[in-house]
Amino acid sequence: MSSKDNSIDSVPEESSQDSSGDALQDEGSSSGRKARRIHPLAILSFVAIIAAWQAASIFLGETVGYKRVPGFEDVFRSFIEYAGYWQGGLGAESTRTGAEPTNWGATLGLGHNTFVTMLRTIAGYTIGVVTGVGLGFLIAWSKVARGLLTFPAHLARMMPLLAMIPLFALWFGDSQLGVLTFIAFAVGILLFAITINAIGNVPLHYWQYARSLGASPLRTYARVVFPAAFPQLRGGLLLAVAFSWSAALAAEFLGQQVGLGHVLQSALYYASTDVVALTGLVVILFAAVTYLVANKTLAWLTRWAE
Amino acid sequence: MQDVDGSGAMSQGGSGEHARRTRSTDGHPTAPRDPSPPAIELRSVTKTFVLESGEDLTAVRDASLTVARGEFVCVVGPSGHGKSTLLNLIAGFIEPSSGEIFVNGAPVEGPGPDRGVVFQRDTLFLWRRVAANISFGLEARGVPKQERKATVERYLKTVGLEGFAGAWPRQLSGGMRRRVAIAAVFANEPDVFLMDEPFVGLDYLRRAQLHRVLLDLWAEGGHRAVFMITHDVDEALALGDRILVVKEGRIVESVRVDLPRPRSTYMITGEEASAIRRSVVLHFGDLEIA
Repeated sequence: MSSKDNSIDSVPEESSQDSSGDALQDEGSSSGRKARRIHPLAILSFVAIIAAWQAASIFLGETVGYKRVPGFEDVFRSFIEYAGYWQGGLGAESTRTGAEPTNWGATLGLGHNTFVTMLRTIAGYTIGVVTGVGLGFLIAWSKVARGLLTFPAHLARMMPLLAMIPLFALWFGDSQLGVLTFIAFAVGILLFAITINAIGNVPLHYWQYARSLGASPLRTYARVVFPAAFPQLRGGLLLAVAFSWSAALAAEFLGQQVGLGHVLQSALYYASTDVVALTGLVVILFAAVTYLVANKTLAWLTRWAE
Repeated sequence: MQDVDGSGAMSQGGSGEHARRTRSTDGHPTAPRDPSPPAIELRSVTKTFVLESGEDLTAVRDASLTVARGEFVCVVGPSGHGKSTLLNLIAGFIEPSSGEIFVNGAPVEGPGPDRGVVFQRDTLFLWRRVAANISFGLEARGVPKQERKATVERYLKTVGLEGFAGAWPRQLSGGMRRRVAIAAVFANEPDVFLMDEPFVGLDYLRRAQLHRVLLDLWAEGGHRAVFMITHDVDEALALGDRILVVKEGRIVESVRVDLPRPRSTYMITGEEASAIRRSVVLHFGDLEIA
């Protein structure tokens, strides 16, 4: 066979070394390393924010019994307040029984509330992704589903999300289901719109090619349209990670007795801006971690993309 | 009504004489004589599109055509004159406004694995590695895993990409991707190959190499007809048993290429080939080039 000679084609460098796909992962990680390099201006902006915050706390000062802008010292000192959010056990008694707050109790209080919020976020996010993406694919697939669901789905997308919190409170009370439903709703309606758009952008020739190879419409949809649309879903899935944290905190205002949203609600009630700020920092930290994990996972899942 | 049959003659009415079934000395099938139904048959096919402006655009006009089994037909003509529409009709991607289309005697009702399509655009599934791309059609048709594996290996070898089974499409050069695309379609063993400018954008040398790959695969297939659109008359001369000229939606010419195979550069620039080239390009008008 005359064409056995590969020299007729210029093999890209990465494949001439290794065609197993590892080369691609190396390439991905090398570009990842590039992305991780911190720009000097980013450090400058970070320092500027810290300085501005500290300056605001000094110059705005204390107003009517509480710090409008707590300084860093206040924020870090407020850590002990988390002991009040620990219900007792594991060597730290609840402060509600009159026990003195301890750093261990505060650690457990912060850990427990963060863990609960994170679990709710992950569960709500997962349900929202499955529902939103699933609904998007169903509507794009079926004329009947399109006729039935397009209008209500778009109507739901237009609803002001935060204004719906009282409605969810009325429907679900302070139940776990209410929190999960709210997060899933917030994530789902976002991803529904992105999915419809992503499917619309899948080139027609992919469909035609798969059908001409003998694939059934269902196989074509599952094995061709879905993966072809996936890179376009990636941005939406990442956006929804940050969104789900916000939704989780908002949902925990629905009278939940545990969770970072509950901590924020109590801290606001007592005007503890230092606890609010510390909780905000914790949320930023965990949201960033989940974002990075999601980003890495999605980058791996779309490692084939050009 | 135009009727272009497998013998290369244009006639009125009917599907015409089915072409000869013979083999040249190199094993490539040439237009065969066969009592069974032709590979492709179009009967008075017209395709009209309604534009957004509400106007009608007739892309294919009253086309009748017979392509014999094992015949390699190249279609040339100016851009926008209906060549791709003709191919899409045979592939079943669109329906004719009037007329009938048959493949191996069966009416075309949508796309199917009996008609493999190599597109002008890159259609490789980027999320599947090279081997998985080639086996897609086999999986879809329920071919057992061991058989799939053997078929994929055989076709990878035929197109000279044995070492690239595990590569992602994005790791391949343009020419290699074309080879994978052609292998994927041939591995599915359709009865008819429909190719829409499969080598567009490649340089002369790569085209020549891919022509070799294509002819080898065609020779292996035996009774499979090829319907290939090209803008390059030399390519049509190098590959085709017959050249069809499509102009303004009509098949205006059908020229038999009786050059022996394998065809060299010398042969496709020789006197006989030049006469064919002249009869084809004059359909595009006597252009003042310089």
